[in-house]
Parts: sequence; C-alpha cells; structure tokens
Amino acid sequence: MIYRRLYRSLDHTLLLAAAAVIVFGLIVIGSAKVSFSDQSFIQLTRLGFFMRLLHLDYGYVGRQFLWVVLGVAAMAVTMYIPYEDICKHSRALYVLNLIMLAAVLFAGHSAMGAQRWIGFGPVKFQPSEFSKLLMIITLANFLALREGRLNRLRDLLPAFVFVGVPMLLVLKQPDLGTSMVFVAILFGMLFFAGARPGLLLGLLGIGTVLIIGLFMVHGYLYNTDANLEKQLMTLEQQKKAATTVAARQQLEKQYDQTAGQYRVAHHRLDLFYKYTLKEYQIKRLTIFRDPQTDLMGDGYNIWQSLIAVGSGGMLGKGLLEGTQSHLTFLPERHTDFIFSVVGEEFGFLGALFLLVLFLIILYRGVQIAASARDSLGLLLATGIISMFAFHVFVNVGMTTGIMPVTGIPLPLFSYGGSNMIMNLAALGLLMNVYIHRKQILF
Amino acid sequence: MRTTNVLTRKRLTWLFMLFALALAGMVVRLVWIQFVMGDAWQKKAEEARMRDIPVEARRGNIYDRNGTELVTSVSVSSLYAIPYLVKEPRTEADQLAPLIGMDKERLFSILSRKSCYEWLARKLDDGTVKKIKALNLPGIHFVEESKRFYPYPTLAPHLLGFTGIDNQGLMGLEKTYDHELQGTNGRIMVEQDASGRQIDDPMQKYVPPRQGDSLVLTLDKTIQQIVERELDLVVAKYQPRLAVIIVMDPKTGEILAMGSRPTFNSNDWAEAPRSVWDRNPAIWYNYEPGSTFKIVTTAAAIAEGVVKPTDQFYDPGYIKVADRYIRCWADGGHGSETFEQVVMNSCNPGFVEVGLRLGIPRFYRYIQEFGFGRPTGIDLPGEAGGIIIPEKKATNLNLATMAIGQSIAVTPIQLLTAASAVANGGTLLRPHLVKEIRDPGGHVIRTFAPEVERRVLSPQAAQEVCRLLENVVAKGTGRNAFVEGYRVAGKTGTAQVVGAGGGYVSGKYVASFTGFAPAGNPRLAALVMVAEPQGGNYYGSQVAAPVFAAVAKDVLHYLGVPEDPAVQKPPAPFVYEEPKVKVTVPNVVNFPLESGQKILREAGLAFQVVGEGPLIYRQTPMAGAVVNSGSTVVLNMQPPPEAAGLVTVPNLSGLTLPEAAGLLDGMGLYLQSTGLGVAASQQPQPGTRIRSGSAVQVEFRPAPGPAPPAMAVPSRQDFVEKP
Repeated sequence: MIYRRLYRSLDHTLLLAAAAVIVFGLIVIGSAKVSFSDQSFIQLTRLGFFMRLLHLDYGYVGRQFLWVVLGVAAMAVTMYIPYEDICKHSRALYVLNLIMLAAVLFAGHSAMGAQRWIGFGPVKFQPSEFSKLLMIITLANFLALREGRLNRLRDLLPAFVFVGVPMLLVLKQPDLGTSMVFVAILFGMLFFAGARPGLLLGLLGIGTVLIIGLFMVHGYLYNTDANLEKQLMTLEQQKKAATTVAARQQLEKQYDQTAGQYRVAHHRLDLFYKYTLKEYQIKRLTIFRDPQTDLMGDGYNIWQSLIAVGSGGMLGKGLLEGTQSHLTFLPERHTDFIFSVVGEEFGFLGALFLLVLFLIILYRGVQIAASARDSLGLLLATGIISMFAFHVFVNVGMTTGIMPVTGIPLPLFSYGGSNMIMNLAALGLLMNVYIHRKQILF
Repeated sequence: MRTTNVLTRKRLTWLFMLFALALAGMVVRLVWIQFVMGDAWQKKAEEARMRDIPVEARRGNIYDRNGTELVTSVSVSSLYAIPYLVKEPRTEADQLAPLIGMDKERLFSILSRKSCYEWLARKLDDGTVKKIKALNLPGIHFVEESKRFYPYPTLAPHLLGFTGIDNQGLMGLEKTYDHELQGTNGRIMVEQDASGRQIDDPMQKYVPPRQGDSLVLTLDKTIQQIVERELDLVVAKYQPRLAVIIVMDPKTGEILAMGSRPTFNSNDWAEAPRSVWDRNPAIWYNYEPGSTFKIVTTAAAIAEGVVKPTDQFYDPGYIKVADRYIRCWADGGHGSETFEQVVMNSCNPGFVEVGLRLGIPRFYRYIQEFGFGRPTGIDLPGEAGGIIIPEKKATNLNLATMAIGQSIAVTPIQLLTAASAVANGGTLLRPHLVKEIRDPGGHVIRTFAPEVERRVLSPQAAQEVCRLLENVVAKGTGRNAFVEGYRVAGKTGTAQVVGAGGGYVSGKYVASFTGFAPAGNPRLAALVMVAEPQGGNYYGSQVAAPVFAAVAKDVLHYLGVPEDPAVQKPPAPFVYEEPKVKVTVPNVVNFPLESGQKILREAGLAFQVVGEGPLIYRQTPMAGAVVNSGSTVVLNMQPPPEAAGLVTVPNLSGLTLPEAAGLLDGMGLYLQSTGLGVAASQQPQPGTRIRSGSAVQVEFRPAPGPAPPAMAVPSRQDFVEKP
C-alpha cells in the first residue's frame, strides 16, 4: 500500500529516461571493452543486434550493474528521508566532505598522475564524486538561510569561501574538471538563490577574462622560453663550427648572455607552473583547438575520438563493430570517452537519442525545481540539474572536440562506481523534492 | 518563499533555454563531424588501423618484333622497418648500418621515429639480404620489389633506355612508354591495433597491382646485333668520336635497328659518364650531312623538272657563287658530264648549279616537305630537329652550300626518313619503334600502323631518283656499298668544314652513307654515320660505305631477300686518294693525351699511342717535321726514368680548372690558379723538371666559347666537298 502510494508519487518520465540512459550505457560499456583479441570478433559481425548483446564484455557490465544496484539503494535513501531532514545535518556533511577530500590527498591512490581514490579494504571510491552531491546539499542549506540577501558582491563572498575550501582541496588532487563542476553548481544555485544575474554574469566575465589572461601570460612565457632555447641550440652548433679563435670567443660571449636570459625566462616559466596550472594541464586545456599539433601526445585522445565519432555517420558502424574502440585506438573508451563509442557504433541517431534522453531528464529536473515547495527544495533541484547539465555538456563537448579535455564522465552512462552511485543518489534527492512538492490547491 | 514564484519560473525557463541551446550546439557539432566531415574521418579511421604495404606493379617487358625478350623485370629484396616494433633502435642501428651502408646515427633516428613504415635500403643484393636475415632483428622486414634486367645489356641501350630506383622510366623507350610499362601499384592493407600489432584475424585488404603493359618493338634483335657488331668494328678501326647506324623498313617507317657509339651497359648505366647515356646520337646529333644530302637536292630537282638526267653540265673544278669559289672534291673537276654523272660523281659544282636552278623558295619547300628542321616524331625522348638557316635570311651562297649538304644540320634519323621516302616511292613516313602494346595477359591492346606524314614525291620522280642513286653504287662514288646480288642505291658523304684560304685542314669530318636495298622493292634503308674517324681515312666512300655494305648484306640475307642474278658487280672498289697536303707536325710533347690527340686531329694527322703515363713524353716525328696529311704520329706515354722526386711539368693549355687540378694532382703537383675559364699560361713552363710537391701557377682565361659539336654555320668559309 505504502509502496503503491510512493510509486504513484514518483516522476515516471524522469525515471524512465534515467533507466534508458543506464541500460544504453550498460550496452555501450559492454561493447567498448570487447577488444580485438576476441577470436569470435569476425563471427560477431554476422550476428543480429540482440545476439550480439550476448557477446558483450560482461565483466564490466556486471560490475557497472552492481554500481547501479548500489546507486538505486542510495537513491532510495536520498528519496525516502525528507530533504529538510538531510539538510539539517548540513554542517556535519560539510565537515565530512572536507575530511574525505583531505583523506584523498594524504592517503589516496594515484592514477594517471592524480590522486583521486581512497580505499576501504577492497573497495575504492572517488570522494570528489560524492563531494559534488555533498556540496549541493550543504550549499543549498547555506544559501537558503541567506536568500534575498545576495544582491551585493560582499554578500556573495561567504558563499565563495564556502565552496572555495573543498574546491581547493579537489584542485590540489589535481582534478580540474571536478572543481569546474563546483563552479557550475555554485553559479547555478546562486542564480536561483536570488543573486542579481548582472552580478553573476559580471563575475563569470571577469573569470573568463582572467583565464584568458592566464593563458596569454603562459603563451608569452612559453614562447620566450622556447625561442631562447632554440637560440641556444643554434649558438651551440655555431660554436662547434667556428673556425677562428676570435669568432669562437665572440660566440661564447653571446652564448653566455643568451644562457643567462634563458635561465631567467625558464625560472619565470617554472614559477608560473608552480603557482598556477601545471604544464600538462595547460597543454590539455588548449590542445582541443588543434589536436593535430601533437597527435602522438596530448592531441591523441581528441583525434581518435573525432575519428571515432566522425566515422560513425548516420547509423553508425553497428554494435561491436566500432574499429576505433575495439582496436584500442580510443583511450578511456568506457569512461570519459564513451560518447565517442556511441557516435561510432550507433551513429548520429544513437548520439541524438542519448542527448534527447538527457534533455528529458533536464526538462523534468527544471519542472521539479519549479514545483519545489520551498527555496531549499528549489536550490537542491537546481544544484543537481546544474551539475548534471555541466557534466553532459562538458563531456560531449570534449569528445566532439569543442571543449578542453578534462576528466569528466558522462552521468549515468560512463563506467565508474562512485559516479554512478552519486548520480543516482542525486536523482533520488531530486525525486525527494518532487515527492514533497507543493500541492497546487485552488 | 521570499523569492517570488514568478521570478523563479522565469529564471528556470532561462536555464532550460540555456540547456536546450547547448544541446542544440552539440547536435550541430555532431552533424558537422559526422556528415560534413564524415567521409574524411571515415578515411582517417581506415588509415589509422590499416598498415599499408605497397605492392609494386611489375613493369612490362619489352620484346623485339619476333618476341625475343629484350627487357624484363626480376625480383629483388628491399628493406623496410616498422619502427613501432623496433625494441632497441640503438643496437639494431649499430648492427644494421654497416650492412646497408648507412650512417648509424641516421639509421637510429629513422628507427626511433613514431611511424609504421620507413624505407631503409632499396634493391639489395642477395648476399646482404642473407646477412640481414641472419640477424633476425624485430621490426625489420623485406619486401619483394622488381628491378629492370636487360638480358642483352649492350644491345641498343640508348634506344631501350633505363629506369630509376622506383622503376620510373628515365631514358629511351622506358621513358616514352613509361605510363604503359609502369602499371599501377597495388597495396596490401593489414588491419592493426593502436600499438602496431597485427590482429589475429585481421581484415586484409588486397588491392592487386595492375601489371604494366608490354611493348613489342619494330626492332629486330638479329639486325640490331649485326649493327652492334659493325659498330664495334668501326670503333676498333677508326676510334671515332661518334658513330651511328640506323636500319629502317622504308615501306613502313619501322626502325629495325638503331645503335651508336660510345655506348654503355644497360644494367650498369650509372657507371657510364652522363654524356654517354643521356642522349641518343641517332636522334639528337645535329651534323652537316654533306653529300648524302644531295639525295634531297636530286629529288627536288627531278620532281620540279629543273633538270633531266641527260642534261649536260661542265665542271671546271670549282664554281663561283656570289664572290666565293666552291671547289669540287676532285682536283681539276669532272669536266663535261650529264646530270646522271653529276650524281654518280657527287660533283659539287653540278649540284650547286642544280640548287641555284631550284631557287631558295622551291628548295626550302622540299627541305621542309622531307621533314628537315623539325623532329620526325619518333617515339623516343630527346629528339633534336636539326638546324636550318631561316628562309628569309638565306642567300644564294647558302643555297649553293645547302645543295651539297653544308650549312644545314640534320639528325641521322631525319636523313634516313627522307631517304626512305625516296626509296618507297615518295611517301614520308613517321619513323617508329613500337609495333604493339600488349596487356599483361599477352593480348594486343594497341597496334601502331605505319603513319604517313605526307607524299613528297610523285612515284615517277621517286623512281627516277632511285635509278640515279643506284648508279652511284653501281658505277660511282658509292661502289664500296655494293652488295653482291642486290641492287643497292645510296649516297656517300664526307662533310668537312674547311677554314678560310682553303689550305687549312680542320680535322673534323663526318663520314656517312645513306642508302637502301634492293632498289625498286626496298626491304631496308640504312644510314651509317661516323663522326671524326681517326687514322687519316675519313671519306664516306671509304669509311661508311663498306659498313653499309656489311650491314646490308647480312640483313638482306637474314630477311631472306632473293638475290637478283642480273646485278653486275662494279668494276673495282672506289678508292680516292686525296691530293697530298703537306702538314707541319705540331708539338704535343708534355701535353696530356687528350689535348695532344685534339691538336693532332686538327692538324689532320693520325696517331698511335705507346706506353702508359700521364703525359706525352716523346713524339715521332718531332714537331716541325713536314709530312703528308693523314700520316701517323707515334706518341710515347712512358715517362723516362726520373731522378727521384723530380717530375716534368705538363702542358696545361686549354684545360679547365678541374682537369688541370686533376692532372697535376695525379703527378704530385699543386695547382695555384688565377682567373676563370681554360688554362692560358703557366709557370713553370711545360717540360721543366721540378720537385714533386711543388706548385704550378696557372692563369685561366675565358675560353673562346665552346665549339658546338653540330654545325658551325660558316660566315667566311669555303667548302670542299668530298665524295
């Protein structure tokens, strides 16, 4: 009886769309991890779509399914406890968040040059994923208390500090992508907490200008450094080739001068990398504009992804037939670059279908936000959809070469436990807001 | 609710619009990369996973007219690397570099590249291949390629030509028909994964090469061998600067044989000096044809009716044109004679008169009709067109000299083509070398029919000219070209440029014979040209005509042409003794051999070389002695026993800087040069004995302009025409 009522009070469209995304995701993960060495690969191409489903890599599919089950459990929890009650523990949750993130820095496992995981026995999880949800909950509570008093820049500062502390910890991992998600959540929620749009836009504008400025400064420092290095190499060769003593001395003098300049320039560049972004981060962030300049290095991922998506055409190459993924050209094909596999194997229509599913989820999210009973609900809902939308756009943008490569997964789709559980929990919270929506009474 | 509901809804609408817009942006981006750029990316996806191994198309063979293989391709191994699979580029480079003769560092850098296909060495010999295979290096592979092979390497090398390292035709027929012979390369594309490993059950795409088409030539191997043999004999006997023999079927324009000296080995063409292989003298060499050109003069005169065979001429030994005397080769002239005898005797004044009767416009029309002044269009690269004084600038003197084949330059092929037109009844054909092109399966895909350029003579006129030319061989100056049992027609020629004053012997002659047989129903037309023969004998009648006879005899027998029992053997071979010209022997002592030979040749003397050494140390007779022209000077190259460390300074005059430096270097002397050009003066003087290791100062001055090997259009020169 109670289940029946509960069932009726849910947003079915949202759940169906989310379920469709998850199932689609399971299939694509299963396909992406099948690699060429499978002897039956050639035979596969003769099978029909449903028969092919039997040949997916069920190791990965199974694990992802386990995450989904865990996620649904988490969803049930976040759905069941009224959100006001969750938010009451905001302070504790905020502290938990900080502890988790700090723990990553001190006791984390590193992968790909970044520490993102911490383990409890056999289980490893990625605190920065859960941190996003915790951030939304705590910030919603924080802003709900200050609603209507956010018209001046001075009023916004506490919110910035509130988000800034965990964000810095994430940035320290370093996980640029997630900290950008924090910014998206912050601005999305501030917008619905009643901050002046002009002020927010202004801040975003300043932020953009600062980032562009940063890259320009880097460009200047980097070019100076590279030029001097080249000059040094030329001089070195000239020195070796010099025939007369006078010429050699002259060249040596010139070489020493240039070497001095180079040391200064190089030091400045080192300082820049030390205090702002690392060299590889800058490169990763800018390479998407011209991946061909470093096809074997940082441009490789984008290039292979573009080949994968671009070669898909209207209907795609078919399940398990994406050569880019099965021949291991496409890196991170079951996680960050999974959308490329969709584009390659299911083509434009498959990709469009997935994007439409995401749009439905976002549409329902906006509807739920609009029907929220109070500003806390509204803020929770907008925080969740901001996060969700940011993930979708940045991830799809990355795989299609219009956004920098940041390790941001496709929500409900990419392989990964922490992300799946967190997203389902977030959906649960959204559902929570829906269940406790204001009843329209006339 | 402190914020108003309306405001929230408005903001939510904004937010959703933003989402929708961003999604629309994604969709547009997808459309762009999947549809607009889709094909390009598709191709890239294929390239990314396909390792492309080129499969060279086998170059087509070249056969002679009877199907004998003249050029074919054989398999050789070429070495390439897949740098991805090379695990230790440093050690591999160290092992491999000496075997393939590559710099270790360079090889190392190639092996360290991030690519999947790099050529290392092309067309290696078997021994090297075995050694490399024995090393068993990972990532180093061989691919079969083909290399041109010439089973008869000295047979018509100029004509067949040769190919470069990528089997591209560089010279000769290989170049002309490169497109047909080449075919289209194929590819094996092997699917591979991102790390260059071959996939277990890979998709292999084999694009088979289209093998090249084969050529069937008009050339006859046997006739070509006859020609090569005769050329070798000519070289042995006369050491000419250049010799050419062309044999053609006058009725079809098909070239049956074409050879020249100096020559090279087709399989080792790069070993020969460039000047030898980069041009085919038979189609490139412009020379003054001399009397052989009188065939054209005769034809024009008969066709235009300006002269009848019975017309009377009187030759006093010279003829005055404008203010110049043109002498006859025979001292005192031939006296009174008919035109028939004028042709038989190759009488210069007679032909000059005929030329003058024709006049410039008519004579020029025939020159052009016969195809002089422009390439014949034979299917070989690098054909020259001859040189003709422009009609507008031509004077009567030019007309007079052109009538006897001077002050006009032609190529051997032009002259033979013109003679063939006379032989076949008046039709000028385009000479050609290829009969058929066959596809790799042996099916004929293209045949080359005789190509008629134009009719230049009426059959009657042609017949009349043939009769006159037959007389030349039967009774006249061409008697040495007679082949027993056949009616041979033809004309000798000795072109010679004579300096002002008439007494100067330049030493540069071109002896030639152009003819065909059997007259009336000719089966072959041939041209023999020997440029600058050595040894004093340089007359067309003496040098070239016997060669023609030898070639014609063997070819006619080979072709099975029946003998005509009615043919009378000419009474006696034609021997012409040049009136003795006294020549002062020049000094050639201390000259390098090349320079010395040149000096003697210009003085009209023959030479014989004894011993070996860098310089001519002694000459007999000595300089200053007066001898008959054509006498032999013995050159002793053996250096006299030297006091230790002393060498004789050579005479460097006329040498270029690298030549002089090379010569001095070989003798242990140093060159100190000033100026540019050719050596003009030197210090110490030639013949001085100096210590080895000393310096010789040489002043170079610009040469007076290189003498063209072809024609020097004379301005103030008289001509003497020899038979």
